[in-house]
Amino acid sequence: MTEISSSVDNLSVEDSPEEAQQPPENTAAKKPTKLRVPVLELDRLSVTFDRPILDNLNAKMYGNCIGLLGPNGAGKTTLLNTLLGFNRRTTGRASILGHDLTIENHFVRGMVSYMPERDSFISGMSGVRFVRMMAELSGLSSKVALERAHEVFFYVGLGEARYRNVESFSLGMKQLVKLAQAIVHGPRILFLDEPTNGLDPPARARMLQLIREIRDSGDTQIIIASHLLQDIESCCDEVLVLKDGKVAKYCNLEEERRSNKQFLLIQIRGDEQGFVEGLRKLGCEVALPNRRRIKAIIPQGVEIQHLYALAESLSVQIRNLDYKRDSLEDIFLRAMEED
Amino acid sequence: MAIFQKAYQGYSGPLTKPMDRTFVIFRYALADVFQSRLFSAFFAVCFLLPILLMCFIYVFYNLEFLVQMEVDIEELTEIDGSFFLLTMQYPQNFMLFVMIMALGPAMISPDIRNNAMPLFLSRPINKPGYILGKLLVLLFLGSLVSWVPALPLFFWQGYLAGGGWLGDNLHLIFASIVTSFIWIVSLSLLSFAVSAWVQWKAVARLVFFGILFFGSAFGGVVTEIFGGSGGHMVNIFAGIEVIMRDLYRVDSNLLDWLADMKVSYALLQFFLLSMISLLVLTRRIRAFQVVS
Repeated sequence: MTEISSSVDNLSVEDSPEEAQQPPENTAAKKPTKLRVPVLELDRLSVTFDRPILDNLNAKMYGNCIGLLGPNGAGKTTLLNTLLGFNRRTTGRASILGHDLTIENHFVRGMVSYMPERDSFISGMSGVRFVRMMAELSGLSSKVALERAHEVFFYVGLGEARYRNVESFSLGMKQLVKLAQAIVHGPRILFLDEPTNGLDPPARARMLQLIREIRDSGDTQIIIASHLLQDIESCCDEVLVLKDGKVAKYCNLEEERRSNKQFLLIQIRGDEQGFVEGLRKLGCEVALPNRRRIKAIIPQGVEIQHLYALAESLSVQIRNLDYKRDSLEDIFLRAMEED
Repeated sequence: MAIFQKAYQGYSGPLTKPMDRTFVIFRYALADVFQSRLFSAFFAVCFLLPILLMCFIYVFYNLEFLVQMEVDIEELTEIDGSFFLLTMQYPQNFMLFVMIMALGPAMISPDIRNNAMPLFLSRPINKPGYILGKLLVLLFLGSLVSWVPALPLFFWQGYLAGGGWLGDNLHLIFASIVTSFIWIVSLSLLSFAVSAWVQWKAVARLVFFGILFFGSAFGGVVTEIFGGSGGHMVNIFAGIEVIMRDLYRVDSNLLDWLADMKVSYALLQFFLLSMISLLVLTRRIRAFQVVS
């Protein structure tokens, strides 16, 4: 018993079970996440410049917030540009909310909006005039555009700076203005290309918070391209991992979260074989990734006390017990390692 | 998305017509032009000549005044196509040239340099709509300083001259409109193409100026060496003069310095210049730059 107590003292619980079972801050549970028509559908989509940039992409994604994840040069921005109609596809097709990009390009551009990665603005304009112009170009009347331009500046937190020239804004403010011009007309689909580029931690947190709020409004679906795992994980419910222009992995984070496939990483001293057998009898899925480490997915109804009781009955010492969950980082790294 | 709520909301209200987006570009670009006091002053100066000419025509037909001023009436030249060409169209063409050189290069290059093209082209407006919106600014302002003030002058002259002058010289209205239109559109497209290529407006202005004057000089040299009218094909000043002479029906003896060039060649010259400029524009105006 003393042994078990000391083992408990040594526990390094990274995610407590209570925390792990709580819905994450980014869960868009309040609004329906499934649509009948896929938000984004790629069917053998290829884009070639002087070399293939996107190669035979296939995907059907329904999420409120879709992440395009990949290392630099994976083809994220090219895919966004293709979806926006800036690039011509070489083969295959792509559609947004069921509208083919080639056939209904003009219609699609009427319902999407884009926040580019690089600094983008019109020189010599005040913030509110710039955003108003973008709203008018998206089809809002002059009066409504002005009203919404003011509102959106307050929404992104730049209300006091809205009459300043955009060129005089700091990098963080420019990012927010780019977001403001992208959401001023309330688009159906919002494309964000590296939205947290160059932001300091508070500004980054603020940007991600805004993205989550837009997602949770249910009025706008978001497609984010980023190489930052944390950004994607904190906002997206579906992720397409790209590598060298190909789909390396598709991951439905929302389903992963709902199924709560958490597992324990257990380190023991003693009868490993017997302990594994005992875990299996409790209904756990068990894997042995390496020596003296046991991965176990615990089913509903099995508590930690049952494991301690099992260990006691076999005189096994539990040296370490971690709650783990396949994070996006695990998924991403595996996808990068796979050829 | 009311300010007090500070919450994001989509928009489901009415949308404007697709053609209106081009006029959005036009409206904002026009407003930007008049932010410059220097340009506003220049624009006002452009109207001085038509006002002076209007006064001159009034005086021309005021015999009492001419007698008082002891002017020999027979020495005064007749007011006809040549008069309007030399006193109105030529100077206004020069003003148009200065105006387009000042405004044209500043219209496209800042948008490309500041990476604003993806913002335009991700919206329901395409390249032709964008270019047309910008072109309309120069066409509007150019018209205001060229053929629009020429119209009241014609009518004023026709009213004072009487005797069917207006009916006999109706072609002058057509000449003024067409000449101004050709000059504005071709120079505007060239200035846009140069600014899209160079991307720095000060440099673009120099290049624009250089293309026109070096082209003119080069054309002159070619004509001197090889003869014929081939050299004039790269001299757009010669081209516009030939078109003006033809449309204004001016006696060639009066304007004997004009290039010996067919009107069809001159028209072809402007057509080619516009097409090449449009080609450059469509290649340079793009949402992103491809890096090999």
